Amino acid sequence: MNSGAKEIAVTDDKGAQWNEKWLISAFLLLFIGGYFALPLLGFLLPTVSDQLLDPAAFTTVRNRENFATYFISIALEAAPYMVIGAFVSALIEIWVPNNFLPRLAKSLGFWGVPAMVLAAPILPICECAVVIVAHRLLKKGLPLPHTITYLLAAPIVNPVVLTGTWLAFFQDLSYPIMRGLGGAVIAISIGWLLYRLPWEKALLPHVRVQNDGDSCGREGGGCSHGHSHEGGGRSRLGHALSHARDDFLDMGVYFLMGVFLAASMKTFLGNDILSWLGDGPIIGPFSMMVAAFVLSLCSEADAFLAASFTEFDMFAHMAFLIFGPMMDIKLVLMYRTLFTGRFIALLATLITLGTVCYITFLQLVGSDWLFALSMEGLM
Amino acid sequence: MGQHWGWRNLQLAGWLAFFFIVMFQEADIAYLADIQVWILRAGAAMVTVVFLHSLLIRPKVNNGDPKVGKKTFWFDLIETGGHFAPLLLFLFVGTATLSLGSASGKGASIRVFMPDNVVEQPDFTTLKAGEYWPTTHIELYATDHFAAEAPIQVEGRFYPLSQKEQKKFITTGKSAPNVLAYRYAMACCAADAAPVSIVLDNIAVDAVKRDDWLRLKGRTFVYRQEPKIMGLKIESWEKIPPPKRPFLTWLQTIR
Repeated sequence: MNSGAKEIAVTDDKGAQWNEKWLISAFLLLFIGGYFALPLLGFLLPTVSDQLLDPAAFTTVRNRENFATYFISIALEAAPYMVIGAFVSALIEIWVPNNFLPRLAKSLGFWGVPAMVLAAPILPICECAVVIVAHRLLKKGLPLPHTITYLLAAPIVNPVVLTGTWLAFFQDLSYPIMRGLGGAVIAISIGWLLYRLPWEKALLPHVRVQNDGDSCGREGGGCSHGHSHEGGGRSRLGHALSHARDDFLDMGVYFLMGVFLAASMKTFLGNDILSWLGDGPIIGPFSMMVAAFVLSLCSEADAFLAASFTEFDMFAHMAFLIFGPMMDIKLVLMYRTLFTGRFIALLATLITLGTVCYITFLQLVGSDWLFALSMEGLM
Repeated sequence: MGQHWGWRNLQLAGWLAFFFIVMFQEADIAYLADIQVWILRAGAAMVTVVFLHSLLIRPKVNNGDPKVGKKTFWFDLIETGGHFAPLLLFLFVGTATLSLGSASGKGASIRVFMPDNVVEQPDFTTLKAGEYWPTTHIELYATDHFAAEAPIQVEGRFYPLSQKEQKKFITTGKSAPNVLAYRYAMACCAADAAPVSIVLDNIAVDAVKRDDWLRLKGRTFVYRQEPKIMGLKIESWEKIPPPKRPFLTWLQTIR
């Protein structure tokens, strides 16, 4: 792509993102104003306060409070991880040389994809932070198959997440082993599949433009604060802070839309979706995957909720624990800042198929072998 | 477009105000487990550093949209407003908590995990006459220490069961329960919370309103073995104000 065409593509892409951002913001503000502020004004009217005594109206009030609790708690819990992710992303931008990651990937060849799984435990962050880091890795020229492998594996192959899983399930080692193994195998398989497919058009233009070797602050680099990276360590720190700000804010509105959708689903569908879908050897894992998508939990906490679904077997639990950190409502919105809609659909399909294959494999191997595995681990 | 130095700082200010107002009102502990409270504080500190740096160092090159006009101003304002959405919600609602939508069977039992490590064996012989052992819903389910006739004191929210809901609980040889006391238990934040309920016996349904907070004293019984549902035969109860920390946390229980 020549420089002029590239600039037009980036401008169009940024314009589209800008439109999305203000539309999302307008929607959020209208919703909060309509659903929360107007009823507050309504309390002043006697007829409305009478209606509060009506059981139907009481349900609405309860839904309103549950929605607010979910929304505020997800925002409070996940936003700091996004900040941490933005800092890591900024450090990568400032301190990792531009051609280092593409050269490394090239030198490792086919084995570069599984090598990304080994990078996952170095930084124990959950999926919200990983998306921001993946954004920076792509801009630094890391090929998409490698980045996707990291993006999918990091929220699972992670010491904090695996320890949480171990604690939540009776200190049973088979759960973290199966979860970590599943996350790694599915991430590597998808990475290798993408390795063979043409993936250049999967990225939004503002993400892929820096792959051509541009650096921050230069033409089309997507850097909004305008600077060069020359200078000493103090100057570099300043640039890192500017990058952290931009990465956090660029993702912020999409993140909030994801939080809104997750809070809505939890309030109005909640765990009842599981009763509706049912359990059993085939439908159970499927139900739990749907629940993981809808509930949009942080991978560092999801094991505790999964363990409370006592009516489901370990295979269904495993489907929940593997699928959720890779694909949920909140993540779809965040992926939207990196990938095209078609690619997100392809990714969702591959993750679903990967999870189904892995769970089927576990079911074929049988729980006896898995039990033996956990016993061996305890010895 | 929303990328200007001024707008960016305003957007950061929205997040900072959200974090700090929640923390100053001590509402963070009503939404988050301890470890997450510390992570929130660290995140807020990091955003503060970014904000101060951004505020003090204005870039020489402003590469926002050069075609800045009235239309762009309004769009930028709306986009910036989106970053204030969590703060606005918190200001409208205050400190909110979850209440049980419907009492499905799931809410009435939890998986017994780490029975050897979770709860110390209570020594009921140290209790004087009329005293009860203070405990939580999680501890009741986590061990067998409270299996039968244990004199305990527990706090929870009142939930009268509808006739349809009662059918879910019916166990052979026992009458259907008509009241629960529930608490939500979380791992990290309210979003991952799951309800934990106990069946109440010997309390008048009409005496209390749904979702009222109660301190309950009485003796335990196992209403159902599999899946386990614990019960409490009430000897006395009182209404209490909502606690600052409405959620129980799984990890705090592990010792």
